[in-house]
Formats: sequence, C-alpha cells, structure tokens
Amino acid sequence: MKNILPFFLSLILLTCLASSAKAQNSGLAKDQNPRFEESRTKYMETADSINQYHSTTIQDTYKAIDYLVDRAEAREQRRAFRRELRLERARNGWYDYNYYGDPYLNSGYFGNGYYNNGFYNNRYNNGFYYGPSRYGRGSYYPGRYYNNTFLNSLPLALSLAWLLN
Amino acid sequence: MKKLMFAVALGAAVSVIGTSCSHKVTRIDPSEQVDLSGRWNNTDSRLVADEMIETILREKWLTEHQQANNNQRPVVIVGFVTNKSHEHIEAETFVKDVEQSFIKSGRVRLVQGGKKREELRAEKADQQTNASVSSMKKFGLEQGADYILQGSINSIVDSQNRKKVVYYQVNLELTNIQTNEVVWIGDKKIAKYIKN
Repeated sequence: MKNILPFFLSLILLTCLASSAKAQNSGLAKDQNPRFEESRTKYMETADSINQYHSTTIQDTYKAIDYLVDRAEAREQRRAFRRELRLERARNGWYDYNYYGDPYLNSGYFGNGYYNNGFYNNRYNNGFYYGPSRYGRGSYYPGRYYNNTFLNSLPLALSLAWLLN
Repeated sequence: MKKLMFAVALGAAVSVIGTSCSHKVTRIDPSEQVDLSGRWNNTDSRLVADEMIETILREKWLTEHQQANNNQRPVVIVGFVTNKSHEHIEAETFVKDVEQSFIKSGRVRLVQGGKKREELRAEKADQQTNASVSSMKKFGLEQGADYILQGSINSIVDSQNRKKVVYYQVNLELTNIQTNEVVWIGDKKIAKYIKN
C-alpha cells in the first residue's frame, strides 16, 4: 500500500499539470506561437518609451560633401577664431599669440587636438616662455618681448610727440 | 545757410524713407513655386503630399481590407518618419496632408499617437476625479489601429564646384500591425540641379 500511494499522488499531479497546460493553450489564437508571452513581456516594458515618438520625424541627417557649404563653414570658423582671438587680447592685453599653441584658443575649432600636438607645438612653441601670468593663469609668452614696458609704450610716445608738434 | 539746412534735412528724410522701404514682405500663394536656395522647401513638401495622397487611397490594400473585414474601414496610426537626408526636414508638413486626406475621404479612420495620445490619456485621467460621472470617459475603450504609417527620407548630393545635383527620395509605407505585412509603399523622387 505504501508503494502505491506515491504513484497515485504523482498521477494526480501530472493530471493537474496537463489540464492547466491545456487551458493555457486554449487561450492561443489559431497558429499563434505558444512562446508569444516572452516577446510580449519584453515589449510591454519598452512600448511607452518608443511610442512617445509616434508622428514625429527622427532627424538622422548626414553631412554632404558640398564645396560651397564647406567653404562657407570654413569662413565662419575663421571668423569665429579671429573673434575669439580678439576677445582673448581684450582680456589679457596684446601679446604674441602663437597661432595654434594657445591652450585657451584651442577650445573651439582648433580644440580637436589636431594642431595641438607634434609638429605644430614643436615648431611654434619652442623658445616660448611658459609661466604664471599676471592674471593668475598660465600663458605662453615669447621671451624677447616679455613685459617690455619701454618697447610697448614706444609707439604711443611717438604718436603723441607727432601730434603735439 | 537756409539752403544748406534744407538740403541736409531733405537728405536725412530721403535716407530714412529709403531705409524703411528696403524691407518688404508680400503674401504669396502657398502653391506657388519659389526656389531660393535649392534646399528642401514647401514646394517639395507639397509635391510629396500630392503624390502620396494620390496613391494611398487608390491602391488595393484598402479594398482588400474591407473585403476581409466585413466592409469595415481600416484604422491607421502614424508612426515614425526617419529623416536620413543631409538637410533638416520636418515630415509633418506632408504627413499631415496625408492624414487630412484620410479623414476627408471617409474611407480610412485615423487614431492619435505619440505625445498627443499621452495628452488624451492624461485628460482622461483627470476626468476620473474631476468630471461628472455621466460625462467621464473610460479607460480601455480606445480604438486599436490596424495599420501603421511609417516613412523615411533619403538624399544623394553630387556637387562639383558651383554645380550641384540633389536627389531626394521620400518613402511612406503602411504595415499591418497584426501580421507585419507591408501593404503599401508610396514614394516620391525629386531631383534638383542647382547652379550657384
């Protein structure tokens, strides 16, 4: 009798499982994939974030090769660079900026590191004095003209002398 | 001296009038073709809309749907349009024309999607606590779409010095949401030769 009881219990369990599986399958439409629930669960989580962009245009544009557009952009970049240069001069006084070497000017167009290494730095930055500036930040100064008050004020003095005569 | 003063005043008046007249705005017919830069403009958008409206309501997907569904009209939702061209193009300008044609024809039903649908649901949620019971709209009774309208915009640019040929291809496609079957693809190709 003891040997028969587990057999009956497992038979009842199997019957229950089979009937529940049959009930689940009966919820399927004709030819529907029985594993549809896996996909449903996955997409139920992402539906809201995707569907909010319905009726919109997703801008995935590219930059075309266009001679005139490229030329106009290069001109605009040169202007922006010169504007930045003038601003830097207005802030720090006029000194001989090396064209590509100044770390503050390199924040814009030339800030991609292309000119900020190797050849250009070696060529243009040699002989420049690097040290703390009057304004509390590092700057490149050409050694020859470093803070020469006499030479800096000479053009002004000559102009004044010419006007007063 | 008086003559001189008069001449100066006259000159100033002429310059003021001349400056004020330099800026001029005129209303034009939206269907008039005005090409200034050669970039995508309202004429291109209108051409695309005309072509899409012309074909989408004429093709067999519509009759096939009605035959398979007891003469029920198909319900469409508008999905994404991906702009993969070299210019910023808003597809809404021509997609709205297509949507309008659905409603005007009375042969296709349209349901709201995206942000507007979110807004509708938010309004419905608000009604649950603020509207009278008789006027309150219920959740779970939205019309499900049968088809989704999606699209893409592509372009090819070929330029040499001051000459340029720009080619746009706009595709709209209608897909059965249940089966993923594409039932209609509409396209409009526009090529422009631009000489600067």
